[in-house]
Amino acid sequence: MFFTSDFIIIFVSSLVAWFLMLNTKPIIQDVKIKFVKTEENHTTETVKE
Amino acid sequence: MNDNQMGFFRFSNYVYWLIILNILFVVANSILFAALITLIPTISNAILYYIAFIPTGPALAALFHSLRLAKEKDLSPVQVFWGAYKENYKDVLKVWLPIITVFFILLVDIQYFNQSPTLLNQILNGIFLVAIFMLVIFSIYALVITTHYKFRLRDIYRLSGFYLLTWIKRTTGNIAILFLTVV
Repeated sequence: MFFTSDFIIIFVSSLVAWFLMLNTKPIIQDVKIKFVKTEENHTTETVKE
Repeated sequence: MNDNQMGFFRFSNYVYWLIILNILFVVANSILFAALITLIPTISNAILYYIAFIPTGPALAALFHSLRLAKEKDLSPVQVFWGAYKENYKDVLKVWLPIITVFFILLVDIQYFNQSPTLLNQILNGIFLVAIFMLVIFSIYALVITTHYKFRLRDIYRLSGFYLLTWIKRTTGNIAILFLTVV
């Protein structure tokens, strides 16, 4: 039982993470708008992508 | 391509990305995988589980990073995943290690409360369980912020706490997703 349940969680992890990302996307956008400064300003906070 | 074909292409692209990313995630978590197979889930093995959980943080962060780019047609999921994994490995570990340390301390405490179930211990047990659930959501925000942007460590924790407590709708949505997964 333990074997199956834990492994199912690992095998659906990408699907769960995808749902979490769909829900968390607005937060990423909000961080970008409110707290991230671009590299042109030579500050410590930079966008990695 | 007409609309139906575009829709089908997009759908199959997502399925492809999810399958490949899942395989990569499992590969990156092979230590945890081995621990789950070989170790009996008792509290005396907690330290071994702790060690096995260390590479999970960078793998989760890379998974979150890659899933955000799943729409791009020209990218390869393998390159995106390993690129994000390698680039963010140190930063994510700095964020991840304190989180799992607190997580395991809470877990051991809960085990202790269960061994002597007085009223106070049962109340504390409930509080600590809620704290663990909040910590899981907190760690998701911390990993997502770390993998996308570069902040100081304390700023990442502050931002995660801020979004955890102020964006209640998103937080409860995430709790619901995790709850449904576990159930």
